[in-house]
Amino acid sequence: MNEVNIAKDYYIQAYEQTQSKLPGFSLPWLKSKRDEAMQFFSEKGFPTRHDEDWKYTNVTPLMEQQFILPSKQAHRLSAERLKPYLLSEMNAHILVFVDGYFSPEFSQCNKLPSGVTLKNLSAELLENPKNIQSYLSSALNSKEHAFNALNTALMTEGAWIHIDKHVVVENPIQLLFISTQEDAIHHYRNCIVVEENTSVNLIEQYVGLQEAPYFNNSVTEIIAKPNAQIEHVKIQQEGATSFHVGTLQVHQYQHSSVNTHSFSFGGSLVRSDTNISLKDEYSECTLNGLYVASNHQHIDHHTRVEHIKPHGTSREYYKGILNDSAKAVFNGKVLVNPGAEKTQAEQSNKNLLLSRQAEINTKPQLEIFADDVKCAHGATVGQLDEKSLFYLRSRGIEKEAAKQLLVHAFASEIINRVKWIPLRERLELYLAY
Amino acid sequence: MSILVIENLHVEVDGKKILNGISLTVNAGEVHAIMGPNGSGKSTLANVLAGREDYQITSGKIFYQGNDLLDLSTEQRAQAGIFLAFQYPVEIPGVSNVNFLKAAVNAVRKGQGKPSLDAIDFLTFVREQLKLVHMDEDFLYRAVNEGFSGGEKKRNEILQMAVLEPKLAILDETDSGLDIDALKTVSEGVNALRHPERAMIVVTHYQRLLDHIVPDFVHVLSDGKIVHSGDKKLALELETKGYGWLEEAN
Ligand SMILES: Nc1ncnc2c1ncn2[C@@H]1O[C@H](COP(=O)(O)OP(=O)(O)OP(=O)(O)O)[C@@H](O)[C@H]1O
Ligand SMILES: [Mg+2]
Repeated sequence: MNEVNIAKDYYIQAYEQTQSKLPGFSLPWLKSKRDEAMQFFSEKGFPTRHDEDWKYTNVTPLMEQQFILPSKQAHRLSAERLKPYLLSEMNAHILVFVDGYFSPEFSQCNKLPSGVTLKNLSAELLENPKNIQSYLSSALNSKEHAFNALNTALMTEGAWIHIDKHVVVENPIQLLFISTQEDAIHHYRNCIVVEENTSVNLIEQYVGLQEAPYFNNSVTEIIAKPNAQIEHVKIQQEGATSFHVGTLQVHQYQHSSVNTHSFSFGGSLVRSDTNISLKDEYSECTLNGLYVASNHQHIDHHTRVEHIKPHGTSREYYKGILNDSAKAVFNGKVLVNPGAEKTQAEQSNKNLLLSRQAEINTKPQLEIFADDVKCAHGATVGQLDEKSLFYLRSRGIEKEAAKQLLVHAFASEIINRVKWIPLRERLELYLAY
Repeated sequence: MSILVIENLHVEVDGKKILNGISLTVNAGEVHAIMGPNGSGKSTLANVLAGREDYQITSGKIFYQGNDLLDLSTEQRAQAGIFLAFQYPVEIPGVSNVNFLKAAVNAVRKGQGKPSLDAIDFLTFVREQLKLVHMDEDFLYRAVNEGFSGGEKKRNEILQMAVLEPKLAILDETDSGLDIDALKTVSEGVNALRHPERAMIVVTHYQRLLDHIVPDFVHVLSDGKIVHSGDKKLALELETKGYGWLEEAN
């Protein structure tokens, strides 16, 4: 119990000591958001397993270590180590962040179409804070839990993306967050505003090039204005002993469409929240997800789709592959608020357990407070099909290779929903169970 | 030379006796037909030969090319040239037929110490074999057996046999559910593989298949035992008389 208080005090003090160096310190609106979030954190502290949303995920390992907030740009990352992660073959516009800092030398965003702003957050807070004031932390509920609050209080860097009305951004935008430093903690905040009648593709990728523990606590906010079309892919490949807590918060307006794909491969303790609010009529979203864990990894995905107005559609397809002693949690909530008539929602979570020790807690939830809605949900947990395995082996394919084929087959349903073939190929490669 | 020698084989599943003392010798160049009533153990025998692990061999021996077959894993058997065309081929969504065939061909080649075929050589080779079984190239790009009709699944089995070029092919009711043209195609595919150094075991209920694939021997399996063996005339006799007279005789 003591370490809980020590950890809490540690972050409270860290805020007091570093706040004057945080970007936008002189902006009263931002300072009050940060203060308020910190106030919530100091009252509430870290979640415990008595909190319904943290029942199966114990965050004490995160408190046993005093992670260091970045104080100066110190990385020594070679272009060579970074190269395999750049989506150059997709002609992506790329922002690279290394150990908490924006890295202009590795970023590639000089071919942006007009009407697109793609910048690092701290630069925008310095140069044009007015552009971002009404959006930053407007979608996120900082009081959702301690990690969101800490992110708001301590956010230092991230991407600021603004797409003007009627602009179509063909090539994807890649946000690449590389960690090379042990014991470090980073609070990345991405704020993405997609105006009316636009279309944009985003790839948010976290890569750990460090075997020792570190901690990424990130938040991405997306505001999808009427008729915006957004394709978003998150790829989580943190280091094997690292911690990753990430929240994606999306606000959608009329006739907007958001497809978000979450691929979770790395990290030792991972918690990923995806919250989507369909705030206006005829908005639709698809949540696609694949988590793959082995050894002692613990991966927790919480999703929440809130249907607020009529004629909204949400679809959710999450799959998990768990080997060794890995544990995963899937909690998918669909809320249909009073007044959200003609909602259509479907949700499924399928899990493949490759060992007897692997564990999954899956809980799809529907909470419906409106009439005339169509909702369906379901979850399954299974093993590799013995008959299929025998069939493959009877053709000479080695047992391990046969298992790999079946695992990839299971994952392919999710991977193939990503629209770029080169990215699918990369995901296939990352999928080594 | 004997390709396969089965000596007094007894097999159980979950404590239930299914094969009760089967002995059979298959020599190179021969085709053996196995007939017999439903549930007599034909598929069980076929699956045991292919190495299915949930069947317990309680006694007896099996030799393949002079070596103890029971020492080999399923994949080793396939690599050594044993092929089973399944009575009920499984559907494997998410694995394309072409990737599956390529993985199989290269795994067998690797097991035999041969170099892998590259993508182009493999495609050239598999296209030739597709013609043999009159299959459209589209089938390569569909998931293994997924949504295939009954007859298409059987053709796909013969396609696999053709690309893997086995020494001992076991066809478990490959003729069931085939229309007359498909039966001819499948038989042609099988006959094209007949070779003095290969052998085949053909499980069937129907004489009509044996018009096309003429067997050297016909065996009748009943209650997990071979109750009668003869030449191709036995199949004709069974067609008119049924199995009753054999069971009475035992
Ligand atoms: N896994 C199993 N569990 C229990 N019984 C089994 C199992 N596999 C086979 N059997 C039984 O063993 C017997 C032989 O089955 P098998 O499939 O070998 O018959 P068959 O001769 O191929 O029949 P058919 O002509 O209908 O294909 C049957 O009674 C069947 O129910
Ligand atoms: Mg059978």
